[in-house]
Amino acid sequence: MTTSSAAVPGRATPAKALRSTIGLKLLMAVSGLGLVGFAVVHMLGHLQMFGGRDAYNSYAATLQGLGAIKWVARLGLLAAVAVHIGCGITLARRNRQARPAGYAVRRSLRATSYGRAMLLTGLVFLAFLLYHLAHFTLGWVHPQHFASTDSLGRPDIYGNFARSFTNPLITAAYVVASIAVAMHATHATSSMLRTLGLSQGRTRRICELAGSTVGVALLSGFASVPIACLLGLVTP
Amino acid sequence: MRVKLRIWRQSGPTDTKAGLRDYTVETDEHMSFLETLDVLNADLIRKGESPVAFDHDCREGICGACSLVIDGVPHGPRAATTTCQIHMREFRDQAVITVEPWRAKAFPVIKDLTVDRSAFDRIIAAGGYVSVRTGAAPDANAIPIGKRTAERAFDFAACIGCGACVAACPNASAMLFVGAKVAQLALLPQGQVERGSRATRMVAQMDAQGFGGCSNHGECEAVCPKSISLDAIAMLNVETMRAALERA
Repeated sequence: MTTSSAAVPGRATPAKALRSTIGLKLLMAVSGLGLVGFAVVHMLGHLQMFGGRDAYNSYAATLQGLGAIKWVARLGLLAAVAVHIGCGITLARRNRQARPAGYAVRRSLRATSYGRAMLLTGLVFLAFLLYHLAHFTLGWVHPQHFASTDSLGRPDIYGNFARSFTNPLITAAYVVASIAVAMHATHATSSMLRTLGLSQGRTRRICELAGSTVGVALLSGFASVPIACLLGLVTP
Repeated sequence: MRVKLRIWRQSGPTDTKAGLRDYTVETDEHMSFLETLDVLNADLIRKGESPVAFDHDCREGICGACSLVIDGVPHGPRAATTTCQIHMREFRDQAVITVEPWRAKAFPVIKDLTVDRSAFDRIIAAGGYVSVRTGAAPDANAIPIGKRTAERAFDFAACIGCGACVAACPNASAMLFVGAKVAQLALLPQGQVERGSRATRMVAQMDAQGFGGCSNHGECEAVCPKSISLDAIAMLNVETMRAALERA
């Protein structure tokens, strides 16, 4: 009949496989795995805010003292973000083109709100990431909280955090971002495990549980610090 | 019982006046959904109007021809059931039921509720087979296969190629269909010879047909009349990786 009689794909090569839908999804999964891994470590590091000024500032000074390793990690994360966004845009465009005419009535049976909102939560998070870097890494926004030192002469990151989050607007921005990250990571984790072929048969339920566990952990871990500062439980 | 059917009418592939039209049909709760459409068509023919075109063949849930999106769900309200096995007792008297065709770029509408699903045939032709010399049927159990493996392969082989997975997927992805065939053949000894190239060739054809990619929502699994598991998609990913690594 009338279908586009698509071109015969020809010889399959690894390079072609990487550009296929599944290749892009694998790149998405591997870069996402790195980003979720970083998010979990980052969140655990931040929980040291509850350990007081000395504990947090010495943790921050250790990270800053890593030198070359720090830059390798930063470049790796930047590459992961770039690959993730690039593949995400390509896949989203393909997916949109795959259904030019929609349904008059459509009822979802299984798709979750956080699964459907991946693009939105991803974009919210990207906007937040730029703000977050300008806030605590570069000191461009709210510079009044930046560049103070503690009694040992180390950068007083603890004080910077605690002072920043006494502002309800800054705290609100961080809580919204925590929600977006948690929603994104919940679908991402179980989705990534399936894309990597690990979620099958008996492991499926564990992989799906891993998604919600990562999501809940990230939400409570990330949101607790700003909220604690705002409520005065962690003081500058 | 009496129902109001809101049916997608489209006279041909390029009909610009296509849209939903309302029909009131006197039916019976013991009638099947397709029989209700038969009643409507008999009435339309009597009135000299064009009957509603829809795909159907075996009407016993095994051929994969019937393909209607009923109230927003491919194959209608009953899980693990094809359209032809849906009966009017699933609906209330006086119900308004919307009936649409599968929607995907790769499944263009031919007329009304029938779509061209030959894209699936081209994916199968790209690698969804085992090349064998034909001859007499081999002896049963000539190649021993463990029960668990045989059952898993059979679960994937249950796919009837109806395309409900594509119709339900928010991305119009065919990965459950492709995965089912790739997984079935990857599990069996007969499928090993062509295993290295099967997934890559079928995936390349899947992309060329214009299907989307999997976002792991699970809508396909929920509407599949043969309950094909999402494990098929996990296996398709693994087989694609395996083939790429083998060639590298």
